[in-house]
Amino acid sequence: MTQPLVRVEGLSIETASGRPILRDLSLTLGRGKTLGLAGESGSGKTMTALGVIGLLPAGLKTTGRIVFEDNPLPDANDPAWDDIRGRRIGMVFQEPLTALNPAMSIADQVAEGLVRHRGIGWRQGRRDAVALLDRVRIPRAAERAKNYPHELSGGQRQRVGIAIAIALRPALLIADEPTTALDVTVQREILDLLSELVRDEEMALMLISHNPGVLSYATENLLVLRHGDCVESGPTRQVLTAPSHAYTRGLLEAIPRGSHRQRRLPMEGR
Amino acid sequence: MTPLLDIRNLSRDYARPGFFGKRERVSALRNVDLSLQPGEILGLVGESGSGKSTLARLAMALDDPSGGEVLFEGENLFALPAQALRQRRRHFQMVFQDPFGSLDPRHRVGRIVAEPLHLLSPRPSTAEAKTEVARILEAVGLPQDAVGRFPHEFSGGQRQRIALARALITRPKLVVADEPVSALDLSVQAQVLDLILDLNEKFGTAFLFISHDLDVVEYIADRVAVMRAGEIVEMGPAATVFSNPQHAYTRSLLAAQAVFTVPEMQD
Repeated sequence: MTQPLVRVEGLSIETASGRPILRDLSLTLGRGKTLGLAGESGSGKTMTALGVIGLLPAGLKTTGRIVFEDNPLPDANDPAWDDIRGRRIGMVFQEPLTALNPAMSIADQVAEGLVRHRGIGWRQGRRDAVALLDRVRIPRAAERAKNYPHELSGGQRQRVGIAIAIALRPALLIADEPTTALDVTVQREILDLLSELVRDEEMALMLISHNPGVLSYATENLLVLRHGDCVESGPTRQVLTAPSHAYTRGLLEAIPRGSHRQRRLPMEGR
Repeated sequence: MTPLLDIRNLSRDYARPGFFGKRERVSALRNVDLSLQPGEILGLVGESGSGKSTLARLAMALDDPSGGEVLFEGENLFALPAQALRQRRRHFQMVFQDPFGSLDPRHRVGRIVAEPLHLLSPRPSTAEAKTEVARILEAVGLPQDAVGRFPHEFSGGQRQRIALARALITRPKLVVADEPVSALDLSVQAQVLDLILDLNEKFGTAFLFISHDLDVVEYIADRVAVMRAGEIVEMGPAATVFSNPQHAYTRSLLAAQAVFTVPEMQD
């Protein structure tokens, strides 16, 4: 049997003062598969992602291990990360405007990783960047490549963020609330693009969202986190339609469906 | 019945620098008509850039229109002398999306919530202000000891309760809420939505509830208006607009949202 791409084994994270952020989390993610991490603020979903990409804030105590492509991931600050982060694991952030460099054209930002890691020149890098921008469906990519981030719409900026993340053809793409700031029609386009990349490039996707609708649409498997604990996991549809844990059930009951005149949302605090 | 709020033919243009120093006019709002009855919850939906927030600011007389009028209880707010407008402000208040940015972090909650009381005349005494703060904190479900604490000590949902307390302390007839639950977790969103429904019922406060989230608006609103590119393309009872949308744009918005419908739980 082939090994999963990512295997998180008993990952625990706590603050320097001993407050737990994540408790004994285990998960696996296969090549070309999609996994959703669901949970509210403070649930530990972003910390899980930052752990996998080796970007946990300094001062946190971490135990457990993460095996990626059959090797344990190195400790933070290990130079070995340079060959993993960006190359084998790409990351897309919620707010592309803060993740992008405002003073650099989008072609140069996409080309930067290619030039650094592939040993190609800037001229070739920019040509490849245009192909990537076209790949993520930036219209008239050759012209738009010279634009700066502020000249693009929110959806197009997120496409640029995705182009940067996939430039080196990573095996794993981590997307942390990639569509949260976007209008619903644009959300769908971005999620369709991510699904297409998963299919065509055999990339695995770890999608973090507080929005069950987004996770329902774009993931095969789902893991629900609450205050640093995984409360349940399984096929997305099963978790959403037949949750085994009261917390998941409560979360799903908080989704507005129809008018309050038909059904009031539950009021109990969680 | 005289509407509480009657927006007539309201337009707002902005100047934007164009090529060669020419200034282009950009129309953020075009000939909008909208009215709100006392005690009604009107949902205003639309995508980003549709003009929802521009409309909100004009309805609160926080900005001047390029044309048209905003009548509050029959009086055009833009024709009122400054002093008279100031006296009317106790009757219409606003709540914003970001409960971090809209509460002054240097002030204690008691002071933040009491702030709009200066709009009352005669101005309440310190003792009266204290009573009013206690009354409104209870109404929004915050503990009385909140008065001595700072905004950062509260969660996002509690901060939105503070913002609602501040908006409601002058017993306004209208609250304009601009994306009040968009930054909140689902369970907290449910609590704040139900708080708004309770306050609407208890005090008869009308709400202009602005959101990009159609599910949220369908849940809370009596009537709904759909905006696109500075215009209202459809308006009607929420039950009708959501079950039988007339405008192609409303239909496309509903279709887009339907993709993200979470399958119902089995019992």
